[in-house]
Amino acid sequence: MKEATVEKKFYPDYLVEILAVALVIGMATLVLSMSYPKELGRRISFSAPFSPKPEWFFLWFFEILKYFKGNFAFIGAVVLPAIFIVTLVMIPFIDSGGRGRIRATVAIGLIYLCFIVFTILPALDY
Amino acid sequence: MGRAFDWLDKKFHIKAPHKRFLKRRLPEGLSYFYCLGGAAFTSYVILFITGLLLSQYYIPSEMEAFESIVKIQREVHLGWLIRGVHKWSATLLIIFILCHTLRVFISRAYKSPKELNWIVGCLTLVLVFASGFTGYLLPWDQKAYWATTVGTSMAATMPVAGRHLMYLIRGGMDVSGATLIRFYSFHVLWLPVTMAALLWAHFHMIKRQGIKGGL
Repeated sequence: MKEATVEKKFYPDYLVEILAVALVIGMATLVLSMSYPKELGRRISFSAPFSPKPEWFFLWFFEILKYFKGNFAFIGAVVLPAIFIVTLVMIPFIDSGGRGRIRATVAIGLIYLCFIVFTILPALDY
Repeated sequence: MGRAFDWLDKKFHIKAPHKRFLKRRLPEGLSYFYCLGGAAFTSYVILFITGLLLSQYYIPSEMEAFESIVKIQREVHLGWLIRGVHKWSATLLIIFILCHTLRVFISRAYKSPKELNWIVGCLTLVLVFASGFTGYLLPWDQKAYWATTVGTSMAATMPVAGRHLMYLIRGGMDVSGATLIRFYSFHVLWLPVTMAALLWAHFHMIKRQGIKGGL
């Protein structure tokens, strides 16, 4: 590839690429919105039975809550999410010293695995 | 850039310091995976603009919120599309940020001197989730109401201060009009403004520290 060795500058080379990507994303968003438009919800009713369903990116949270009942709800609701956030923030400091990179990889891997698995699990139920 | 720009530049003096930034060389070996952060920012901008448009018609009150959404959906010209774009950009934003975070981790771009930039990115991620949570209540429909009731009740599970915290988040004992206006304020003022400040810091540090190593 000859092009790859040619020196690139932010302007105009990279800027054009960024704008092209932005344009593609804009188009994709538009296509998605027209193909799958947002539906109107139902009016709030306090008498009709209703099982709450969160936005898809909170499905993992609702799913994890199911495993902690009663006095332990606190662990699923507050402690686990707090551990996720603190671990994520601390990644640069977890990756220090000999086996740092491995520790950090395991930490990130577990967080992402939790997110993906607990998002898919409830989706299988519906 | 034409005369109009030069006239403005005399006042703001932005051209000279940015010339070096615009003409700087890029490191080799950048792939399209390095676009994911930019992709997330694109979605943020789309959310910002469609949010500005939606706020022209949305009414954050217990009595009128649902009706105003019905109006946006059925009567306002292209209202249904703007609302759809807002929702889909939110979904894409989450996906892009999660992929961007993974890319940064894989290329180990969180190492010194970029620790702080990693932390700023993580805080932005948390705020994006908070925006999703507060935005979900605004349509004031069945799904929104009960998901928020369950979501906010989680605060009460905390020992000692739990119930007080839930009261603070809801602005009362139950999810009500007070919660709606509170979430609306967070969703359209507190969170976007804080995020804009964090993103400025995020981009400024990239500019100073370079995409790969120092520039």
